[in-house]
Amino acid sequence: MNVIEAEGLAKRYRRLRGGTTTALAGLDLAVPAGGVFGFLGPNGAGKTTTIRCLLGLVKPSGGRCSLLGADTRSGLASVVGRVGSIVETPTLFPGMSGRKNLRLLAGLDGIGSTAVDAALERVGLADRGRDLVKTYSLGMKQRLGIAGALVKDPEVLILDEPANGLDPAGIVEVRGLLRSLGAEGKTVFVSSHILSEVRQTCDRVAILARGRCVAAGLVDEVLGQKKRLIVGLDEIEAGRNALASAGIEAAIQDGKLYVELTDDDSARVTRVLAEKGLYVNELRREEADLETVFLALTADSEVPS
Amino acid sequence: MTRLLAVELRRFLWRRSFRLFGAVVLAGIALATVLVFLWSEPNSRGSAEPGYQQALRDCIGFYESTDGAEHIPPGFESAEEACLAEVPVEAFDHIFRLTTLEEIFRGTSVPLIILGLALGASFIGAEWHSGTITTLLTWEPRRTRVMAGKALVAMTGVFLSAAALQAILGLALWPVAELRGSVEGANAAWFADVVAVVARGALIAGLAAAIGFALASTARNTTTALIIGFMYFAVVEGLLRGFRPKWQPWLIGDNAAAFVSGEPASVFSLGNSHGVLVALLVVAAYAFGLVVLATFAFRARDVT
Repeated sequence: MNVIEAEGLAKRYRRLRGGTTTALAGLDLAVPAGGVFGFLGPNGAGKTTTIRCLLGLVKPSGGRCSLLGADTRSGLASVVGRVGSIVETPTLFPGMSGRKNLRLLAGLDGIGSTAVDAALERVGLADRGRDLVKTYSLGMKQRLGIAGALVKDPEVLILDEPANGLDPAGIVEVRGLLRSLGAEGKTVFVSSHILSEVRQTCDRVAILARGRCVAAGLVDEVLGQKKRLIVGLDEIEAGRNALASAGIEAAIQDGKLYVELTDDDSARVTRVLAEKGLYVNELRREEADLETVFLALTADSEVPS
Repeated sequence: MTRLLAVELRRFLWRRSFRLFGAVVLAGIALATVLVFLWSEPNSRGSAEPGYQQALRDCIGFYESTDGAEHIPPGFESAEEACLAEVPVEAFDHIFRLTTLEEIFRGTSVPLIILGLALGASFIGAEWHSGTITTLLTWEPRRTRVMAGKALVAMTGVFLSAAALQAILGLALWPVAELRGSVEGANAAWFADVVAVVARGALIAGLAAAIGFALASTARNTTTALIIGFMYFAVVEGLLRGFRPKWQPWLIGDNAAAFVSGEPASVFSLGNSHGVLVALLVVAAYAFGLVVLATFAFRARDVT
């Protein structure tokens, strides 16, 4: 069962000076239960709008979306108790302590202060829980927001850019937290524009560009789309010619050969080169990163009207 | 709904602005009590007598003059009789009388009503300002319920706070009257009247909170709501009183003041068109109508 679904989800905002801005242009998305799901896209791609639609904060202009099987336009109230979320920067009362803020929220679901303290402990804010939120750093506010989302002990966590504002140590902590939550069987839906973050944290990923999903699947699958073989040798030009004569496309880049492979056939490359008396001093698979994939996937995506 | 109300009430009481306003008013009450204590002089009746007699003579002299004789109020046989009623001896001595509490509470109702409007506006305006409305809706997405709960808490919180502050003022001044003033005339009937004045003032303060709340919810900003509110009461209603006098019985300010005073005809020329109860219903209708409109707007608009 998919815990989050969107079909043809569209959202257009009216501009003050007339016209509309399209934030979502028919988004299709399916997030299965369990694990950490990355929702990746550049700023303005529609990530936050999607999350706002899922949480009933904005009304879709078209299409539908559901959370835990409930249509978010009509049935959100029946499932919201099983969903923890933060949207953009967590918003809490600056003049109250972090603990008081969480106690207020927890009170809405009849959750006691023990769960509040446990959530604060889990995000490393137990010592600062009684301090006013206005004295918190951005990273601490972010962690407090995550604590707020965890108070319910939810089945689904929807986190919008949770690493924003965190220092490197905080990022590592949050990464570990998200992975452990995913490993516990919870579904963690996390949006980000930081590609390396998604790669290190998520099991699955959907890539969003200009309001549409342009790729989705296991992170390894999505990463595997554009893998190349990097070959290092002394006579690089001769190497390229040798490969070309064998029907293998190769490009010279940064003093190395980048070989496009349609299948996993690196042995063939070394054999062709060796037959010509060219011996490789480096041979490795290109660690294709999401930047490459992202740019390749979104380069030709049209701006929706 | 009970949980939502409990949480909203807790938030209302935990708010800094509420505590700040409360502290300022309590400090004002303490100061006023000390000043009244120092000012009140139980034996000042004798020293006030010459001034009182002089004022009486001036008053009688005015009515006995050619022009003044025409102005003797109906129901009075002579200038002396009219002046004995018009020139109270209490105005010339320094004795704090507990019976003046009724008039004091009418006066203090006005700032409490303004404070109620501001507290109601800031109660929801602060949510929009800090963005916490987004967080709240991720816990309770039923917007009508959220609005109803918040409006109810703002109204009830301000009503109870206003009544409590008036009661504290009364309780603070009571010993002053006992020790250095007079409690003459402070009987059960008077007490009932005082309670009614306090309740009426607090009720209007509560309705003002609802109006402030509705304006701030629609504008999504406290300051804008307060500007709109004060512009309306100071400018729009003033213009309407001047240019559309027939509308006066339906203006919020006039009905609110009429209800607090308990004497609509004498205070705001509402004539016999309304009783006190109708004045309350008019204000309540405006407050309820504005909250309903704000709720429709809240349901219809995106939270971005």
